[in-house]
Amino acid sequence: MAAADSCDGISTSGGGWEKTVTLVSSDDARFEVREAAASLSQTVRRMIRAGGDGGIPLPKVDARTLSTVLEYCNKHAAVPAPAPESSSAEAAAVDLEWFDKELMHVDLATLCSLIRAADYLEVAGLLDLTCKTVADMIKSKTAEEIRQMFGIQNDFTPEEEEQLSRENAGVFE
Amino acid sequence: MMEKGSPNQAAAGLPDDLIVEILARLPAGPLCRCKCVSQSWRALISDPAHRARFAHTLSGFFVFSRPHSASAPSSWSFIAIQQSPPLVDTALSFLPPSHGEIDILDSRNGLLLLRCPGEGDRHPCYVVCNPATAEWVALPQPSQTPGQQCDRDGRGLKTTSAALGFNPAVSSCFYVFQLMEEKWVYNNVNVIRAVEIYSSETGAWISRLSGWKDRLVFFAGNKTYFKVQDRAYITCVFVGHSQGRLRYVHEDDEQPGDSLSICVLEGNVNEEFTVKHSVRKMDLFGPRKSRWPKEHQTVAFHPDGNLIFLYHRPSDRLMCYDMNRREMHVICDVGGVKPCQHLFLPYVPYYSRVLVSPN
Repeated sequence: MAAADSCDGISTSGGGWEKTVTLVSSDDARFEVREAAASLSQTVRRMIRAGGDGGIPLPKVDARTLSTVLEYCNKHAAVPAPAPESSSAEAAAVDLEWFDKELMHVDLATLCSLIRAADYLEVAGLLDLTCKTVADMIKSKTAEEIRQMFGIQNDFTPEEEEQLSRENAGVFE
Repeated sequence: MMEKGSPNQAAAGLPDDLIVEILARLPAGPLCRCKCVSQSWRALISDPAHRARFAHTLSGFFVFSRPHSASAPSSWSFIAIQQSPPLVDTALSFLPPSHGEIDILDSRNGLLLLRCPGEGDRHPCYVVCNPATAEWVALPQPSQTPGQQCDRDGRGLKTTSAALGFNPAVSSCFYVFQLMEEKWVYNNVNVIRAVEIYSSETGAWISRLSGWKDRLVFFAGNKTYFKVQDRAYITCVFVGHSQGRLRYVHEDDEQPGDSLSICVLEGNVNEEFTVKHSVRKMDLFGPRKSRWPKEHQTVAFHPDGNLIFLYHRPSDRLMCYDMNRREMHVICDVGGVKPCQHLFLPYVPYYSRVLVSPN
Protein backbone atom coordinates (compact mmCIF):
# COMPACT_ATOMS: atom_id res chain seq x y z
CA MET A 1 0.00 0.00 0.00
CA ALA A 2 1.14 3.48 -0.76
CA ALA A 3 -0.61 5.41 1.97
CA ALA A 4 1.00 8.80 1.97
CA ASP A 5 2.58 9.67 5.31
CA SER A 6 3.16 13.33 4.94
CA CYS A 7 5.98 15.15 6.62
CA ASP A 8 6.87 18.72 5.79
CA GLY A 9 5.70 18.45 2.22
CA ILE A 10 7.68 15.29 1.58
CA SER A 11 6.31 11.79 1.94
CA THR A 12 7.67 8.30 1.64
CA SER A 13 6.06 5.87 -0.67
CA GLY A 14 7.54 2.58 -1.71
CA GLY A 15 10.88 3.67 -0.28
CA GLY A 16 11.15 6.78 -2.48
CA TRP A 17 10.64 10.40 -1.62
CA GLU A 18 7.60 12.04 -3.10
CA LYS A 19 6.47 15.63 -3.27
CA THR A 20 3.20 16.47 -1.61
CA VAL A 21 0.80 19.36 -1.99
CA THR A 22 -1.70 20.84 0.44
CA LEU A 23 -5.33 21.19 -0.64
CA VAL A 24 -7.72 23.40 1.29
CA SER A 25 -11.44 22.62 1.29
CA SER A 26 -14.26 25.19 1.34
CA ASP A 27 -14.58 24.68 5.11
CA ASP A 28 -10.85 25.29 5.61
CA ALA A 29 -9.77 21.70 6.21
CA ARG A 30 -6.23 21.03 4.98
CA PHE A 31 -5.29 17.83 3.15
CA GLU A 32 -1.69 16.84 2.55
CA VAL A 33 -1.61 14.72 -0.61
CA ARG A 34 1.05 13.20 -2.83
CA GLU A 35 1.42 15.32 -5.94
CA ALA A 36 0.99 12.28 -8.15
CA ALA A 37 -2.44 11.62 -6.59
CA ALA A 38 -3.53 15.26 -6.58
CA SER A 39 -2.52 15.56 -10.24
CA LEU A 40 -5.32 13.19 -11.22
CA SER A 41 -7.32 16.39 -10.89
CA GLN A 42 -6.60 18.52 -13.96
CA THR A 43 -7.73 21.59 -12.02
CA VAL A 44 -5.20 20.95 -9.23
CA ARG A 45 -2.51 20.08 -11.75
CA ARG A 46 -2.94 23.48 -13.41
CA MET A 47 -2.81 25.22 -10.03
CA ILE A 48 0.38 23.37 -9.07
CA ARG A 49 1.96 24.53 -12.33
CA ALA A 50 0.86 28.09 -11.66
CA GLY A 51 2.72 27.90 -8.34
CA GLY A 52 2.00 29.70 -5.06
CA ASP A 53 2.22 28.72 -1.44
CA GLY A 54 0.01 28.22 1.54
CA GLY A 55 -1.97 25.40 0.00
CA ILE A 56 -4.29 25.18 -2.98
CA PRO A 57 -7.76 26.57 -2.20
CA LEU A 58 -10.72 24.55 -3.49
CA PRO A 59 -13.67 26.77 -2.53
CA LYS A 60 -16.27 24.58 -4.24
CA VAL A 61 -15.53 21.31 -2.39
CA ASP A 62 -16.24 20.63 1.28
CA ALA A 63 -13.97 18.53 3.50
CA ARG A 64 -16.20 15.45 3.54
CA THR A 65 -16.45 15.31 -0.26
CA LEU A 66 -12.79 16.19 -0.78
CA SER A 67 -11.66 13.37 1.49
CA THR A 68 -13.60 10.86 -0.64
CA VAL A 69 -12.20 12.36 -3.86
CA LEU A 70 -8.70 12.07 -2.44
CA GLU A 71 -9.34 8.50 -1.33
CA TYR A 72 -10.12 7.79 -4.99
CA CYS A 73 -7.07 9.68 -6.25
CA ASN A 74 -4.68 8.04 -3.79
CA LYS A 75 -5.87 4.59 -4.76
CA HIS A 76 -5.82 5.22 -8.50
CA ALA A 77 -2.48 7.02 -8.52
CA ALA A 78 -0.92 4.25 -6.45
CA VAL A 79 -1.57 1.56 -9.02
CA PRO A 80 1.78 0.31 -10.28
CA ALA A 81 2.18 -0.34 -13.99
CA PRO A 82 3.27 -3.95 -14.38
CA ALA A 83 3.46 -5.64 -17.75
CA PRO A 84 -0.04 -5.79 -19.22
CA GLU A 85 -1.73 -9.20 -19.23
CA SER A 86 0.46 -10.35 -16.36
CA SER A 87 -1.33 -11.93 -13.41
CA SER A 88 -0.43 -9.04 -11.12
CA ALA A 89 -1.93 -6.53 -13.58
CA GLU A 90 -5.12 -8.53 -13.57
CA ALA A 91 -5.16 -8.72 -9.79
CA ALA A 92 -4.58 -4.96 -9.55
CA ALA A 93 -7.48 -4.32 -11.94
CA VAL A 94 -9.78 -6.57 -9.90
CA ASP A 95 -8.68 -4.85 -6.69
CA LEU A 96 -9.32 -1.42 -8.21
CA GLU A 97 -12.74 -2.44 -9.45
CA TRP A 98 -13.63 -3.71 -5.97
CA PHE A 99 -12.36 -0.47 -4.43
CA ASP A 100 -14.48 1.63 -6.83
CA LYS A 101 -17.56 -0.41 -6.05
CA GLU A 102 -17.07 0.02 -2.30
CA LEU A 103 -16.47 3.76 -2.71
CA MET A 104 -19.82 4.08 -4.49
CA HIS A 105 -21.76 2.59 -1.56
CA VAL A 106 -23.10 5.99 -0.54
CA ASP A 107 -26.45 7.78 -0.72
CA LEU A 108 -27.61 9.83 -3.69
CA ALA A 109 -26.84 13.19 -2.03
CA THR A 110 -23.22 12.16 -1.48
CA LEU A 111 -23.00 10.83 -5.04
CA CYS A 112 -24.25 14.12 -6.43
CA SER A 113 -21.73 16.07 -4.31
CA LEU A 114 -19.03 13.78 -5.71
CA ILE A 115 -20.24 14.38 -9.28
CA ARG A 116 -20.01 18.16 -8.76
CA ALA A 117 -16.58 17.82 -7.18
CA ALA A 118 -15.28 15.47 -9.90
CA ASP A 119 -16.55 17.89 -12.53
CA TYR A 120 -15.03 20.96 -10.85
CA LEU A 121 -11.74 19.20 -10.09
CA GLU A 122 -11.74 17.50 -13.52
CA VAL A 123 -11.09 13.98 -12.28
CA ALA A 124 -12.32 12.18 -15.41
CA GLY A 125 -12.28 8.66 -13.95
CA LEU A 126 -14.29 9.68 -10.88
CA LEU A 127 -16.81 11.65 -12.96
CA ASP A 128 -17.37 8.58 -15.10
CA LEU A 129 -17.66 6.28 -12.08
CA THR A 130 -20.14 8.48 -10.19
CA CYS A 131 -22.30 9.26 -13.24
CA LYS A 132 -22.41 5.57 -14.16
CA THR A 133 -23.48 4.75 -10.61
CA VAL A 134 -26.35 7.27 -10.73
CA ALA A 135 -27.28 6.08 -14.25
CA ASP A 136 -27.50 2.53 -12.89
CA MET A 137 -29.81 3.77 -10.11
CA ILE A 138 -32.08 5.48 -12.67
CA LYS A 139 -32.09 2.63 -15.17
CA SER A 140 -34.92 0.58 -13.75
CA LYS A 141 -36.95 3.43 -12.24
CA THR A 142 -40.20 4.98 -13.48
CA ALA A 143 -40.40 8.68 -14.37
CA GLU A 144 -42.21 9.37 -11.07
CA GLU A 145 -39.52 7.59 -9.03
CA ILE A 146 -36.83 9.60 -10.84
CA ARG A 147 -38.71 12.85 -10.06
CA GLN A 148 -38.70 11.91 -6.38
CA MET A 149 -34.99 11.07 -6.48
CA PHE A 150 -34.08 14.46 -7.92
CA GLY A 151 -36.85 16.54 -6.33
CA ILE A 152 -38.30 17.45 -9.73
CA GLN A 153 -41.88 18.69 -10.24
CA ASN A 154 -43.92 17.03 -12.96
CA ASP A 155 -44.58 20.00 -15.26
CA PHE A 156 -46.27 18.14 -18.10
CA THR A 157 -49.92 18.67 -18.97
CA PRO A 158 -52.02 15.48 -18.99
CA GLU A 159 -52.14 15.76 -22.82
CA GLU A 160 -48.35 15.90 -23.05
CA GLU A 161 -48.02 12.91 -20.73
CA GLU A 162 -50.45 10.97 -22.87
CA GLN A 163 -48.44 11.86 -25.99
CA LEU A 164 -45.13 10.83 -24.36
CA SER A 165 -46.44 7.51 -23.14
CA ARG A 166 -47.77 6.82 -26.66
CA GLU A 167 -44.30 7.46 -28.09
CA ASN A 168 -42.80 4.89 -25.74
CA ALA A 169 -45.64 2.38 -25.96
CA GLY A 170 -44.57 -1.18 -26.46
CA VAL A 171 -40.87 -0.44 -26.61
CA PHE A 172 -39.66 0.91 -23.31
CA GLU A 173 -41.95 -0.31 -20.57
CA MET B 1 -29.48 12.40 6.35
CA MET B 2 -32.41 13.80 4.46
CA GLU B 3 -35.94 12.75 5.22
CA LYS B 4 -37.45 10.09 3.10
CA GLY B 5 -39.56 11.55 0.31
CA SER B 6 -38.29 15.11 0.74
CA PRO B 7 -36.57 16.70 -2.23
CA ASN B 8 -32.96 15.75 -2.31
CA GLN B 9 -31.00 19.01 -1.98
CA ALA B 10 -27.74 17.92 -3.60
CA ALA B 11 -29.52 15.98 -6.34
CA ALA B 12 -32.12 18.70 -7.01
CA GLY B 13 -29.56 21.35 -7.80
CA LEU B 14 -27.43 19.44 -10.29
CA PRO B 15 -26.73 21.73 -13.25
CA ASP B 16 -27.85 20.68 -16.73
CA ASP B 17 -24.39 19.72 -17.97
CA LEU B 18 -24.04 17.22 -15.12
CA ILE B 19 -27.54 15.83 -15.75
CA VAL B 20 -26.34 15.32 -19.34
CA GLU B 21 -23.26 13.48 -18.01
CA ILE B 22 -25.56 11.05 -16.16
CA LEU B 23 -28.04 10.64 -19.04
CA ALA B 24 -25.17 10.02 -21.48
CA ARG B 25 -24.43 6.82 -19.55
CA LEU B 26 -27.93 5.35 -19.94
CA PRO B 27 -28.93 2.82 -22.58
CA ALA B 28 -31.53 3.95 -25.14
CA GLY B 29 -34.55 2.44 -23.36
CA PRO B 30 -34.17 4.07 -19.93
CA LEU B 31 -33.03 7.30 -21.63
CA CYS B 32 -36.29 7.40 -23.57
CA ARG B 33 -38.24 6.95 -20.31
CA CYS B 34 -36.34 9.91 -18.85
CA LYS B 35 -38.01 12.19 -21.43
CA CYS B 36 -41.15 11.80 -19.30
CA VAL B 37 -39.50 13.17 -16.13
CA SER B 38 -39.90 16.90 -16.86
CA GLN B 39 -39.94 19.51 -19.61
CA SER B 40 -36.33 20.40 -18.91
CA TRP B 41 -35.16 16.77 -19.05
CA ARG B 42 -37.05 16.25 -22.29
CA ALA B 43 -35.46 19.37 -23.76
CA LEU B 44 -31.97 18.18 -22.72
CA ILE B 45 -32.50 14.76 -24.29
CA SER B 46 -33.89 16.25 -27.52
CA ASP B 47 -31.27 19.00 -27.79
CA PRO B 48 -29.24 18.52 -31.00
CA ALA B 49 -26.14 19.75 -29.12
CA HIS B 50 -26.18 16.58 -26.98
CA ARG B 51 -27.28 14.12 -29.66
CA ALA B 52 -23.84 12.67 -30.27
CA ARG B 53 -23.45 11.80 -26.57
CA PHE B 54 -26.72 9.91 -26.08
CA ALA B 55 -27.67 6.35 -26.91
CA HIS B 56 -30.16 6.07 -29.75
CA THR B 57 -32.56 3.37 -30.71
CA LEU B 58 -34.28 1.99 -33.78
CA SER B 59 -35.81 4.91 -35.69
CA GLY B 60 -37.00 2.95 -38.71
CA PHE B 61 -36.07 0.83 -41.68
CA PHE B 62 -34.47 1.48 -45.03
CA VAL B 63 -36.46 -0.74 -47.38
CA PHE B 64 -34.72 -1.77 -50.57
CA SER B 65 -37.11 -3.30 -53.10
CA ARG B 66 -35.93 -5.31 -56.07
CA PRO B 67 -38.72 -6.32 -58.49
CA HIS B 68 -38.71 -9.90 -59.77
CA SER B 69 -38.84 -8.58 -63.30
CA ALA B 70 -35.37 -7.49 -64.39
CA SER B 71 -36.72 -4.63 -66.50
CA ALA B 72 -38.38 -2.85 -63.57
CA PRO B 73 -36.07 -0.58 -61.59
CA SER B 74 -35.22 -1.27 -57.98
CA SER B 75 -36.18 1.37 -55.44
CA TRP B 76 -35.82 2.21 -51.79
CA SER B 77 -37.65 4.15 -49.14
CA PHE B 78 -37.52 4.82 -45.41
CA ILE B 79 -40.19 3.63 -43.00
CA ALA B 80 -40.11 5.57 -39.72
CA ILE B 81 -41.32 3.77 -36.60
CA GLN B 82 -40.76 6.56 -34.10
CA GLN B 83 -43.51 9.12 -33.60
CA SER B 84 -40.99 11.93 -33.66
CA PRO B 85 -38.60 10.99 -36.44
CA PRO B 86 -34.98 11.99 -35.93
CA LEU B 87 -33.54 14.89 -37.91
CA VAL B 88 -31.84 12.63 -40.40
CA ASP B 89 -31.62 12.97 -44.17
CA THR B 90 -33.13 9.55 -44.88
CA ALA B 91 -33.54 10.52 -48.54
CA LEU B 92 -29.70 10.51 -48.72
CA SER B 93 -29.83 13.77 -50.67
CA PHE B 94 -26.32 14.62 -49.41
CA LEU B 95 -24.87 12.03 -51.82
CA PRO B 96 -23.56 13.34 -55.15
CA PRO B 97 -25.99 12.72 -58.04
CA SER B 98 -25.68 9.23 -59.45
CA HIS B 99 -26.40 8.05 -62.99
CA GLY B 100 -28.41 4.95 -62.22
CA GLU B 101 -29.81 3.05 -59.32
CA ILE B 102 -28.13 2.97 -55.95
CA ASP B 103 -28.36 -0.39 -54.19
CA ILE B 104 -28.62 -0.28 -50.41
CA LEU B 105 -26.87 -3.40 -49.18
CA ASP B 106 -26.53 -3.16 -45.42
CA SER B 107 -27.04 -1.00 -42.35
CA ARG B 108 -25.02 -1.28 -39.15
CA ASN B 109 -25.16 0.94 -36.06
CA GLY B 110 -25.91 4.08 -38.04
CA LEU B 111 -23.80 3.51 -41.15
CA LEU B 112 -25.14 2.37 -44.52
CA LEU B 113 -23.36 0.35 -47.19
CA LEU B 114 -24.35 1.32 -50.74
CA ARG B 115 -23.32 0.11 -54.16
CA CYS B 116 -23.27 2.98 -56.62
CA PRO B 117 -23.53 2.30 -60.33
CA GLY B 118 -20.56 2.62 -62.64
CA GLU B 119 -20.46 5.24 -65.33
CA GLY B 120 -18.92 4.81 -68.78
CA ASP B 121 -15.85 2.66 -68.22
CA ARG B 122 -16.02 3.06 -64.44
CA HIS B 123 -17.03 0.03 -62.41
CA PRO B 124 -19.71 0.10 -59.70
CA CYS B 125 -18.22 1.00 -56.33
CA TYR B 126 -19.03 0.76 -52.64
CA VAL B 127 -19.94 3.84 -50.68
CA VAL B 128 -20.33 3.94 -46.89
CA CYS B 129 -22.40 6.83 -45.57
CA ASN B 130 -23.80 8.20 -42.32
CA PRO B 131 -27.24 9.78 -42.94
CA ALA B 132 -27.20 11.47 -39.49
CA THR B 133 -24.07 13.49 -40.21
CA ALA B 134 -24.43 13.56 -44.03
CA GLU B 135 -20.94 12.12 -44.43
CA TRP B 136 -19.97 9.61 -47.09
CA VAL B 137 -16.85 7.91 -48.34
CA ALA B 138 -16.25 5.92 -51.54
CA LEU B 139 -14.13 2.81 -51.06
CA PRO B 140 -11.28 1.76 -53.33
CA GLN B 141 -12.08 -1.16 -55.66
CA PRO B 142 -11.72 -4.70 -54.35
CA SER B 143 -10.02 -7.25 -56.64
CA GLN B 144 -13.43 -8.45 -57.89
CA THR B 145 -15.82 -5.83 -59.29
CA PRO B 146 -18.79 -5.25 -56.95
CA GLY B 147 -22.22 -6.42 -58.09
CA GLN B 148 -21.18 -8.89 -60.79
CA GLN B 149 -23.30 -11.96 -61.56
CA CYS B 150 -22.28 -15.44 -62.70
CA ASP B 151 -22.51 -15.83 -66.48
CA ARG B 152 -25.40 -17.71 -68.16
CA ASP B 153 -23.68 -21.05 -67.78
CA GLY B 154 -23.24 -20.40 -64.08
CA ARG B 155 -19.51 -19.78 -64.43
CA GLY B 156 -17.54 -16.99 -62.84
CA LEU B 157 -17.81 -15.31 -59.49
CA LYS B 158 -20.87 -13.58 -58.11
CA THR B 159 -20.23 -10.50 -55.96
CA THR B 160 -23.72 -9.17 -55.30
CA SER B 161 -23.67 -9.85 -51.53
CA ALA B 162 -21.81 -7.55 -49.21
CA ALA B 163 -22.11 -6.63 -45.56
CA LEU B 164 -20.95 -3.89 -43.23
CA GLY B 165 -19.26 -4.32 -39.85
CA PHE B 166 -19.30 -1.36 -37.48
CA ASN B 167 -19.53 -1.19 -33.71
CA PRO B 168 -18.71 2.26 -32.30
CA ALA B 169 -18.65 0.83 -28.76
CA VAL B 170 -15.57 -1.14 -29.79
CA SER B 171 -13.89 0.98 -32.46
CA SER B 172 -14.57 3.84 -34.84
CA CYS B 173 -13.21 1.66 -37.63
CA PHE B 174 -15.63 -0.03 -40.05
CA TYR B 175 -15.32 -3.11 -42.24
CA VAL B 176 -16.93 -4.10 -45.52
CA PHE B 177 -17.22 -7.76 -46.46
CA GLN B 178 -17.70 -8.71 -50.10
CA LEU B 179 -18.64 -12.33 -50.65
CA MET B 180 -17.31 -14.15 -53.72
CA GLU B 181 -19.82 -16.84 -54.55
CA GLU B 182 -19.92 -19.42 -57.30
CA LYS B 183 -22.48 -21.95 -58.47
CA TRP B 184 -22.06 -25.41 -57.00
CA VAL B 185 -22.17 -27.66 -60.06
CA TYR B 186 -24.02 -30.56 -58.42
CA ASN B 187 -27.14 -28.86 -57.11
CA ASN B 188 -26.91 -25.37 -58.59
CA VAL B 189 -26.72 -23.56 -55.24
CA ASN B 190 -24.24 -20.81 -54.47
CA VAL B 191 -21.26 -21.48 -52.29
CA ILE B 192 -18.96 -18.87 -50.80
CA ARG B 193 -15.49 -19.28 -52.26
CA ALA B 194 -13.82 -16.37 -50.56
CA VAL B 195 -14.52 -13.10 -48.84
CA GLU B 196 -12.80 -9.79 -49.44
CA ILE B 197 -12.60 -7.58 -46.36
CA TYR B 198 -12.04 -3.83 -46.35
CA SER B 199 -10.86 -2.11 -43.18
CA SER B 200 -11.25 1.67 -42.84
CA GLU B 201 -8.22 1.62 -40.58
CA THR B 202 -5.83 0.32 -43.24
CA GLY B 203 -7.86 1.65 -46.19
CA ALA B 204 -7.19 -1.60 -48.05
CA TRP B 205 -8.91 -4.84 -49.03
CA ILE B 206 -7.64 -8.26 -48.01
CA SER B 207 -8.89 -11.58 -49.32
CA ARG B 208 -9.72 -14.67 -47.26
CA LEU B 209 -10.43 -18.06 -48.79
CA SER B 210 -13.33 -19.92 -47.34
CA GLY B 211 -14.18 -23.52 -46.80
CA TRP B 212 -17.82 -22.75 -46.01
CA LYS B 213 -20.32 -25.03 -47.65
CA ASP B 214 -23.39 -23.43 -46.21
CA ARG B 215 -25.09 -20.29 -47.29
CA LEU B 216 -26.08 -18.80 -43.97
CA VAL B 217 -23.59 -16.31 -42.67
CA PHE B 218 -24.09 -13.19 -40.67
CA PHE B 219 -21.93 -10.53 -39.17
CA ALA B 220 -22.40 -9.10 -35.71
CA GLY B 221 -20.04 -6.43 -34.48
CA ASN B 222 -16.54 -7.67 -35.01
CA LYS B 223 -17.53 -11.31 -34.84
CA THR B 224 -18.84 -13.56 -37.55
CA TYR B 225 -21.20 -16.39 -36.78
CA PHE B 226 -22.22 -19.31 -38.93
CA LYS B 227 -25.20 -21.54 -38.50
CA VAL B 228 -25.11 -24.79 -40.40
CA GLN B 229 -28.51 -26.01 -41.41
CA ASP B 230 -27.74 -29.59 -40.68
CA ARG B 231 -31.02 -30.50 -39.04
CA ALA B 232 -34.02 -31.00 -41.29
CA TYR B 233 -36.56 -29.36 -39.01
CA ILE B 234 -34.82 -26.02 -39.07
CA THR B 235 -36.48 -24.44 -42.07
CA CYS B 236 -35.47 -20.88 -41.48
CA VAL B 237 -33.06 -19.18 -39.15
CA PHE B 238 -32.94 -15.44 -38.59
CA VAL B 239 -30.17 -14.27 -36.30
CA GLY B 240 -29.73 -10.87 -34.68
CA HIS B 241 -28.87 -8.85 -31.60
CA SER B 242 -31.24 -7.39 -29.04
CA GLN B 243 -30.59 -5.95 -25.58
CA GLY B 244 -27.01 -7.16 -25.70
CA ARG B 245 -27.98 -10.76 -26.41
CA LEU B 246 -27.70 -12.86 -29.51
CA ARG B 247 -31.12 -14.17 -30.62
CA TYR B 248 -32.52 -16.23 -33.41
CA VAL B 249 -35.94 -17.07 -34.76
CA HIS B 250 -36.68 -20.73 -35.13
CA GLU B 251 -39.63 -21.82 -37.24
CA ASP B 252 -41.24 -25.21 -37.05
CA ASP B 253 -43.11 -25.34 -40.34
CA GLU B 254 -43.52 -29.08 -40.33
CA GLN B 255 -44.87 -29.38 -36.82
CA PRO B 256 -48.64 -29.23 -36.36
CA GLY B 257 -48.26 -26.14 -34.15
CA ASP B 258 -46.60 -24.24 -37.01
CA SER B 259 -44.90 -22.05 -34.44
CA LEU B 260 -42.32 -19.32 -34.34
CA SER B 261 -39.85 -19.37 -31.44
CA ILE B 262 -37.42 -16.73 -30.31
CA CYS B 263 -34.26 -18.26 -28.86
CA VAL B 264 -31.75 -16.30 -26.81
CA LEU B 265 -28.11 -16.88 -26.00
CA GLU B 266 -27.98 -15.91 -22.31
CA GLY B 267 -24.27 -16.32 -21.70
CA ASN B 268 -21.28 -16.38 -24.00
CA VAL B 269 -21.04 -17.87 -27.47
CA ASN B 270 -20.17 -21.34 -26.19
CA GLU B 271 -23.39 -21.72 -24.26
CA GLU B 272 -26.72 -23.07 -25.48
CA PHE B 273 -29.59 -21.02 -26.82
CA THR B 274 -32.79 -21.17 -24.76
CA VAL B 275 -36.31 -20.66 -26.06
CA LYS B 276 -37.48 -17.31 -24.70
CA HIS B 277 -40.82 -16.99 -26.42
CA SER B 278 -43.00 -19.13 -28.63
CA VAL B 279 -46.11 -18.20 -30.59
CA ARG B 280 -48.30 -19.92 -33.19
CA LYS B 281 -48.13 -18.29 -36.62
CA MET B 282 -51.90 -18.67 -36.76
CA ASP B 283 -52.10 -16.24 -33.80
CA LEU B 284 -49.82 -13.77 -35.53
CA PHE B 285 -51.18 -13.69 -39.05
CA GLY B 286 -54.52 -15.51 -38.89
CA PRO B 287 -55.25 -18.44 -41.18
CA ARG B 288 -52.93 -18.90 -44.17
CA LYS B 289 -54.04 -16.89 -47.16
CA SER B 290 -51.97 -18.52 -49.86
CA ARG B 291 -50.07 -21.64 -50.76
CA TRP B 292 -46.77 -19.80 -50.59
CA PRO B 293 -44.39 -21.84 -48.53
CA LYS B 294 -43.40 -18.76 -46.57
CA GLU B 295 -45.97 -16.04 -46.14
CA HIS B 296 -43.79 -13.91 -43.92
CA GLN B 297 -40.23 -12.79 -43.47
CA THR B 298 -38.52 -11.94 -40.18
CA VAL B 299 -37.20 -8.41 -40.52
CA ALA B 300 -35.45 -7.50 -37.27
CA PHE B 301 -35.33 -7.68 -33.51
CA HIS B 302 -35.81 -4.34 -31.79
CA PRO B 303 -32.35 -3.55 -30.40
CA ASP B 304 -33.70 -2.34 -27.04
CA GLY B 305 -37.19 -3.78 -26.61
CA ASN B 306 -38.94 -7.14 -26.62
CA LEU B 307 -40.28 -6.55 -30.12
CA ILE B 308 -39.81 -8.45 -33.33
CA PHE B 309 -40.55 -7.01 -36.78
CA LEU B 310 -42.11 -9.19 -39.46
CA TYR B 311 -43.15 -8.63 -43.06
CA HIS B 312 -46.34 -10.39 -44.13
CA ARG B 313 -46.26 -10.99 -47.91
CA PRO B 314 -49.96 -11.59 -48.72
CA SER B 315 -51.03 -8.33 -47.04
CA ASP B 316 -47.78 -6.49 -47.96
CA ARG B 317 -47.54 -5.20 -44.40
CA LEU B 318 -44.70 -4.49 -42.05
CA MET B 319 -45.79 -5.65 -38.62
CA CYS B 320 -44.45 -5.59 -35.11
CA TYR B 321 -44.99 -8.32 -32.53
CA ASP B 322 -44.81 -7.27 -28.87
CA MET B 323 -43.55 -10.30 -26.95
CA ASN B 324 -44.41 -8.84 -23.53
CA ARG B 325 -48.07 -8.22 -24.35
CA ARG B 326 -48.34 -10.97 -26.98
CA GLU B 327 -49.85 -8.41 -29.37
CA MET B 328 -49.38 -7.81 -33.07
CA HIS B 329 -49.37 -4.27 -34.51
CA VAL B 330 -49.43 -3.15 -38.12
CA ILE B 331 -46.78 -0.51 -38.87
CA CYS B 332 -47.62 0.21 -42.50
CA ASP B 333 -48.27 -1.09 -45.99
CA VAL B 334 -44.94 -1.38 -47.71
CA GLY B 335 -46.15 -0.71 -51.28
CA GLY B 336 -43.93 -0.35 -54.34
CA VAL B 337 -43.76 -2.28 -57.60
CA LYS B 338 -44.99 -5.88 -57.37
CA PRO B 339 -43.98 -8.58 -57.29
CA CYS B 340 -40.70 -7.77 -55.64
CA GLN B 341 -38.30 -8.77 -52.93
CA HIS B 342 -37.87 -6.41 -49.99
CA LEU B 343 -34.73 -6.03 -47.96
CA PHE B 344 -35.46 -4.34 -44.61
CA LEU B 345 -32.47 -2.69 -42.99
CA PRO B 346 -32.99 -1.49 -39.39
CA TYR B 347 -31.61 2.00 -38.81
CA VAL B 348 -30.35 3.47 -35.52
CA PRO B 349 -28.99 7.02 -35.99
CA TYR B 350 -25.38 7.64 -35.02
CA TYR B 351 -24.54 11.33 -34.67
CA SER B 352 -20.76 11.19 -34.32
CA ARG B 353 -18.50 11.88 -37.25
CA VAL B 354 -16.49 8.79 -38.10
CA LEU B 355 -16.20 8.98 -41.88
CA VAL B 356 -13.60 11.10 -43.56
CA SER B 357 -15.52 13.24 -46.03
CA PRO B 358 -14.09 13.51 -49.51
CA ASN B 359 -12.83 16.91 -50.59
